[in-house]
Amino acid sequence: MTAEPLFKKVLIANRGEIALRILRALQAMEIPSVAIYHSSDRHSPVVRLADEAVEITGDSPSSAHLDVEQIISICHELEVDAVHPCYGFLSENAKFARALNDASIAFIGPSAEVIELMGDKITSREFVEQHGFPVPPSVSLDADDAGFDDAIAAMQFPLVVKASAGGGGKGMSIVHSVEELQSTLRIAASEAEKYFGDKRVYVERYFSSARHIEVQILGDGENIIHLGERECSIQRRFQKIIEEAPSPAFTQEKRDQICETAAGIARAAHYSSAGTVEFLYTPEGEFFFLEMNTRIQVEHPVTEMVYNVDLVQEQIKIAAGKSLDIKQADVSMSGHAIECRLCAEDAFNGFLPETGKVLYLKEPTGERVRFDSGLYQGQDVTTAFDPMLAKLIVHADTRDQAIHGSIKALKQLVLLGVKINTQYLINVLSHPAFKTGNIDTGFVSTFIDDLKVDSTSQEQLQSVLATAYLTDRNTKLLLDATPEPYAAIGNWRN
Amino acid sequence: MRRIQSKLNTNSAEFKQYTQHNKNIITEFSNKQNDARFKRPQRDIDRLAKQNKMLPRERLDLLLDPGTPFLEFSSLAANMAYDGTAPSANCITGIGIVGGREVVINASDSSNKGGAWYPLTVKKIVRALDIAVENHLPVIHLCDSAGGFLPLQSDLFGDKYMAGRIFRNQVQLSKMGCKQLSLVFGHCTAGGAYTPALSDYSVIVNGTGAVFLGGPPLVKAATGEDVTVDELGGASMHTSVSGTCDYYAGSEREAIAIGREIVMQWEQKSKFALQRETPEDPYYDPTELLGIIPDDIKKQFDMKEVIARIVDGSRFSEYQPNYGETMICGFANIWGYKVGILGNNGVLFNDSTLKAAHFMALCNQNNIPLVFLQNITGYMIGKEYEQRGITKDGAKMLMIQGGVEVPKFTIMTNGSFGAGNYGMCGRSWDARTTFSWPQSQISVMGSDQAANTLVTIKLAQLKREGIEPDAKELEAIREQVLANYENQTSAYYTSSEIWDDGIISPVDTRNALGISISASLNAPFGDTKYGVLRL
Amino acid sequence: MQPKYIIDDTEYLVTPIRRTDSIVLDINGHTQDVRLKWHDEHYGEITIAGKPSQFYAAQDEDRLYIHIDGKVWEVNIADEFGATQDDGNSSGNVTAPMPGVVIEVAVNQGDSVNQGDTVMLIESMKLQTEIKASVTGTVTSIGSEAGASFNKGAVLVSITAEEQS
Repeated sequence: MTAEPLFKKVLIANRGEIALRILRALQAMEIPSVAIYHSSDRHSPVVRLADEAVEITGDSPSSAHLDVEQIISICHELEVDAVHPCYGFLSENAKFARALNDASIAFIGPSAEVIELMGDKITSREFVEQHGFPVPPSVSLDADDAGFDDAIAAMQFPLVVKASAGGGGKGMSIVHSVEELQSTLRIAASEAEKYFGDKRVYVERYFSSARHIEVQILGDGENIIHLGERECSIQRRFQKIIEEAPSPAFTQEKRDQICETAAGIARAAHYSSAGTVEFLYTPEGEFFFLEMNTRIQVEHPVTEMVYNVDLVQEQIKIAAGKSLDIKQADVSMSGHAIECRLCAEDAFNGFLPETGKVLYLKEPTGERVRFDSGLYQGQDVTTAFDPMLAKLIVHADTRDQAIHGSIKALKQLVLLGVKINTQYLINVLSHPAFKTGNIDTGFVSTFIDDLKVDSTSQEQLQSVLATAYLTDRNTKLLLDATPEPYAAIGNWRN
Repeated sequence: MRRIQSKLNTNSAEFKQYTQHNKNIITEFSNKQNDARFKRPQRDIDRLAKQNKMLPRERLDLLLDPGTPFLEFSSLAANMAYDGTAPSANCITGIGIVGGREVVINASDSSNKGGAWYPLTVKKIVRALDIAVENHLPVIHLCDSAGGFLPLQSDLFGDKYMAGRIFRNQVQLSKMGCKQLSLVFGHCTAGGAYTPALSDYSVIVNGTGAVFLGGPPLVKAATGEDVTVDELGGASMHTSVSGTCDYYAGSEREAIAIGREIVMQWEQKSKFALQRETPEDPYYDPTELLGIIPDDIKKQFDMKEVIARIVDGSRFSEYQPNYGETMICGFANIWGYKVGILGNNGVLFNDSTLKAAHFMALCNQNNIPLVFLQNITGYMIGKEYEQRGITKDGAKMLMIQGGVEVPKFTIMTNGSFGAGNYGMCGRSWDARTTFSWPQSQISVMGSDQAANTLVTIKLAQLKREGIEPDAKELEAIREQVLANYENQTSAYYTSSEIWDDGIISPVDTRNALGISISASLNAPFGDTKYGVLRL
Repeated sequence: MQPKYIIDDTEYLVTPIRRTDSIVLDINGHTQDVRLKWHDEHYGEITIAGKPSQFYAAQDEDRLYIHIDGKVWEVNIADEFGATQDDGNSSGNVTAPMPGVVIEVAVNQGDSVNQGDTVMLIESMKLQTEIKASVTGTVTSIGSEAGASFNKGAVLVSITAEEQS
């Protein structure tokens, strides 16, 4: 490490597992760190481990994290010269990036212009299309537009309605008929306004059996490389739950083709920082640009594991004005990595969110097992934040070994007090169709019945009930209090 | 400790015959007990259900800690009284575990005659409270009684050991620091109202529970006041206005839950540290007891075979094995507890009498409780024995037995006749608990002897009236006298009159003793005031 | 009192029979010899009929969480006090069908509402749900204001039902 750190002090404008992940990178680079936290997170590990920690306030925990003014004033107060936004919250907020620039604080991410360009689904599509890259058939319109009927007539159902400013699965719905479309458009617009402050929506052809493939990009504006693809087809409610690298779908030729396309798009945008280009990949081998995410992704660790690159450290270096010293020719992938997202939800009951208190936590360990988590014992899991609590990443030589290792590690994970989706993830990983690698975004709905299986054997039930009885505080109290010889005589009557 | 070497031949015809004979007796006993516990007119069961009341045994099952025993007392009380109309004397008493605490239970049985107090009900409750007093045990009262049974009021009210004694005992318990909890499930009227009022804690069920000195009809008659049960003594009034009861419960179930919570706050006093070893099941199968007890009260059996099927590991350290052999004495453990056992192997002679007296004095000095296994026809009579001082020796035995400070426990295994009953700690001699085997008998003398004596008296009476019965009439008189006598000699009569704490199956003896000993250790052992005499 | 355990809405009974150095339990109708050994405060070994399993357990009031064989079971302990404390007057309480955040409160305290009127808009799992009045009557209290998060079962709005004439 250089004698002089790249930044005087970096503020981590996030929470949970990703804040801790960024902190680790800063510690490795010997850069002083500042954590910001809402009071509900005051006991979280990042608050304890960061060099400094400042409480932020707001109407709700989320709004505190979205408060640009408050965050910038903390930066000034603590002489912070860079901010890492992570994902979510302000990570793709161009106004925030610009406000930091104006205050001479580095935003660890691409330029505000690129965020603006790529952050809007309609303009980004146009940009990509102009540069000759494939985009799916779509139309941008209001239900009340005069051309509505004609525009729809040219398209094939099902369609997906998306908020232009949306992302991460928010503000999306699938429609199967014109009638459904018209009513959905109105709701979608009002929802989009409520969530994103932008009511524009657009309609796109929906490919029910396509794969969701994304390519990791790393660039300094000039030297722009890709770090292979990630397969992200296992989704529920449009949100990824299992990601892997590489995708089992590709021949090397196809991989090169899609990755080069991604790199081409980034180059066209003179992309600087880490970013992701998302594609739809049809069974026929066609692929279409979906969107570009101008931030570090939740699933970045699978790429880090197979490419042995620390994406966050590279992001920080680039933001500090260093040129990317990795060339495309230098990198190659090794083995297979799978990430499972552990979410506080009832996976067997409509994925409804679950709340509770973390009463006990034992993280899985093992060679090439990575557990990215901000969890701690005593944590109150509420609906104030995203239900994703942690990520398990397992790296192995082959896909089969990675699946096997993931199941083993999931079984090792002990989290008591909050219902999470561990068993569901195990069900997906153990499913024969998943093992073949022949998966698409419809996987979760196609195998809905298979994946629901959550059986308890008679033997397990007896173990659980016996353990319940013998560990239950009240019965323990009674058992300990029972004088001799009454316990030994047992429930005898004369 | 050495193990008893059993000489019992379990393949012998005699063993099989006795086993069959005693199995029939146990079956008869179980049937009587089941009827006393559960056989109720449908009308009464329906009435309780309509009042949202549980059966008394359902309440008990909820109150007691799961997986713990309940040693019930006198389940066949009153079985030969009142033409059998007051099964178990309309109440349930016993020792059980609630919230980890050893407690005495006193529960009204409202499934029969509204739980009315008959004379034997009063006797049974007083006895249960005596057990609490003697053993320093807390008491839980489950109150649901219609009050004294008026047609028999003269037999239950006025005397020293009648109804007033219940409340007197409650006061004594409180003085001694023994906690009492009342769960008021039904009406507690007049005297009955004092049971919750004299308890340290009380819980009352809304709707069905009520406490008052005089019920609404009596109030109307006395003062003309019109008042409802709830206004006069309901849960709400007593827990928020009068303060007579402490806790309001919305249901019987809730009352029991509150009661359990209360008991779990009680201090657990340290018990007497009696010598104890890790309990061990008897080496010989206790069910073999049924093949040991003969089919005729006059046939002898070896009490050591009985001991081998009651004590831990069938181990027995026999005292003076070659002296006074009709009296078996020795040390053993029951459920781990060290005890001194005295068992009869025949009539008491001078030497066996002195051996027993000496052994009891040793145990008393050594703080070892005594267990009496009675099978006794009495002290040996005749010129030779009187000259050797059998009466004097018997007096020594009584003096020591009655004077010991250690707790005593008595099992009526078979016969208990004459003064032997006294020497071997019969009912009058303050055993902490006394249990009878179902075929056992108690009387002042054996039934044949007694019948002959009674027939002689009867004949003398008839002669004065100028009647001379012929041989046939004579036999009829004799049979009737014998039947009456035997009826009153049987364990069922004994238990009906509460001369014991209940009939138990021989195989249950070990558990009944284990619980009795454990309970007895709550009271401190007194100090011995004299040395051990070699008599 | 008999301990009762509820797993996935099914009630099970566990009854101790006797205890020496192991404990004999009747587990939902099966009699088993059971031993339990703790390795630490939350981690132990349960042996049933000679077959050991490792377990992790934690308790939060009347809820037990048990991890065995890589799976977690949530076990609810039936209250000794039973259902006796039900006030029996909850019909006008509109409770949260799931945990979430209040987006908009559509009524004020004292407003008259008809059964089925939207009283609140909530968001859960990125989906908005309209919360409807359960009875016709007057709003007596609002359980959660806009922006507040709530747990499943929380009372969102209380309505006093109109007297039937």
